[in-house]
Amino acid sequence: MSDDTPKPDYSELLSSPYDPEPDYSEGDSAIPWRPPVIAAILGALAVATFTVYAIVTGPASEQEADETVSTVVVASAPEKSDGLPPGYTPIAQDVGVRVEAVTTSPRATTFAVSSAVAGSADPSEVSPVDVAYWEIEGVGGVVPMVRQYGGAAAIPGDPRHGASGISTSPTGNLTVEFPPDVTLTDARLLAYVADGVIERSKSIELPADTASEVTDVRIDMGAGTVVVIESLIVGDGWGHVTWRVDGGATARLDAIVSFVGTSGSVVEHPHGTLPLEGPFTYRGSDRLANWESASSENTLAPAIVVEFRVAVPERVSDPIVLELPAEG
Amino acid sequence: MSEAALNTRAVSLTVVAFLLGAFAAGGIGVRVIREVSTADAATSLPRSATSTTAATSRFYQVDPNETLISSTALVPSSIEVTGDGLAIAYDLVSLAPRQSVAFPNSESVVFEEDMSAVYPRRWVIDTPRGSIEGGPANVNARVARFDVVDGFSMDEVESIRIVEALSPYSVEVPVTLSDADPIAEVVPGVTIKLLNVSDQGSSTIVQVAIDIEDPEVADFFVSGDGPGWRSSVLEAEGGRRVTLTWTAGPLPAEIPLLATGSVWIPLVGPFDVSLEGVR
Repeated sequence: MSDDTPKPDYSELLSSPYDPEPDYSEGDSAIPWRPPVIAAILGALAVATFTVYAIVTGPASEQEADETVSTVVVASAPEKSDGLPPGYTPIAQDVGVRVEAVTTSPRATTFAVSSAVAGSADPSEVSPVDVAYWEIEGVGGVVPMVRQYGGAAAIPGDPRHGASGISTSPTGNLTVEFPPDVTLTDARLLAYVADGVIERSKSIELPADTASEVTDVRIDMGAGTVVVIESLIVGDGWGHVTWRVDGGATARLDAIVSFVGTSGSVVEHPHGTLPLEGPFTYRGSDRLANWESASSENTLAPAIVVEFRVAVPERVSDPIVLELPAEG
Repeated sequence: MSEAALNTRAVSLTVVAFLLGAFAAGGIGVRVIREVSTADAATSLPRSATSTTAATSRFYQVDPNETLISSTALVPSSIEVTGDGLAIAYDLVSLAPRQSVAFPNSESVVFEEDMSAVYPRRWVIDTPRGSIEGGPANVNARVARFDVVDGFSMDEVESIRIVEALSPYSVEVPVTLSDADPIAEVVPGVTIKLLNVSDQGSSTIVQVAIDIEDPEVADFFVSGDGPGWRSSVLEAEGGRRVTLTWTAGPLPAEIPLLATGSVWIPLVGPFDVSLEGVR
């Protein structure tokens, strides 16, 4: 081997970018390293920045993070409901009720309860709500209702609105009264629905030409329930009945007045009620509609017969809980 | 080497160096991301891999475009825009049970479907130009009317709401009147006043006036409470006055009366009206 073998020139590779700038003008072939190095650093910084950003922010959304999770919302055409309208609690076959409002006054705490039938039912073929009695259950304990009434209401301006002030148009709306001092905090309304009714009737004959009064007429409804006619007063063209139920039950009462000994008869009912279709209650004080306008034939009748038709619940359901409406 | 060749070589090296730096950092970055993802997955709930389909069903009682207000369905039937007026006609369909009632010795009473069990009193139409308030003329009307600007179009309507709806409930209030205390409040907005007491043979005639602030939302009648009263007649003239006849001897100083009627109570709303039903 000869020492004349040309040795490789590593000076270019061994040079540093920080070495003094060579003078290329003199034909030197050295490469400018500074720009590539800076570019490599910049590239690394750019990707590192993106990496940090990706870690900190995470995926843009869950949907992007996992494409297998997907929910497709399909709006179907409206369907006819077979059930009750929203907010109504089932209380009987095809019937539900809802508390619409609660008002308080020095006289009473009053619940406004509406009723509606299920979409599968024909309202004209469904009987009105038949609640035996109501209670309020709350922090103050259980308080029984004072009375319930309604189902029909006067309609201002309605041609069916008669001189009595009470239309026979039923609204399905019931008024349920409780004592004025009842506590409503965390309270619930309990409905006890009548399951079947027991009906009895009793007739009382009175002279038609003189005012007379009958008291303490008892109608035994069975199971310890007795409807007591406290007072039946028949005057000159008018009558009035006061009654109650003994035994803790409720009842509804209809009175039919007939004139005996005439060719015709007149039928009357307690004032302002729908006979035997009104709500059950604990007691009543009802005026028998006046019959002074009846024919002279009736006024000459020797006797008046008052027939009482009474109905009491045969059984009552377990309590059905109704929530009170939010104050609004 | 020429200066041009040197510049070309320098540019190429710069690009290659940039990419190398990026790839190197990217490799490290991917590994870091995987580490973080693995740690997250270990502490997160597992993701479901199933695809779900949710169907939104809407149910109606009598009509797809109904608005349920208490136990009544309000169903828009037509709309008319004429100049500066907008009229929305509607039907009220009661869902209340109304099986006919059989009165003794008389024909059954068949109740009507379109009962005034709800009074949609005040409506609001929202548009980009503002809200327009309107409503029916009275409880028996079945058209809600609105005053609109000329050129109004239903396309401007964003929403229609019933902001005041009422429903009637029976009210019975025993009250007493006397010479010393001749006025009594039945319910807020309703008072009765003793007008006159006069003898007529063996009977006593009592005249009472009923004052109702808003006759649209309350209606009352007064009768005698308890035995002794024969009749109560609403006078046809002279405002809302009732003449009662007492036939049981001397009239009590505290005259027992019973105010019976109905009060239209406000229902909790508002109630949205279907735009499809009126377009």
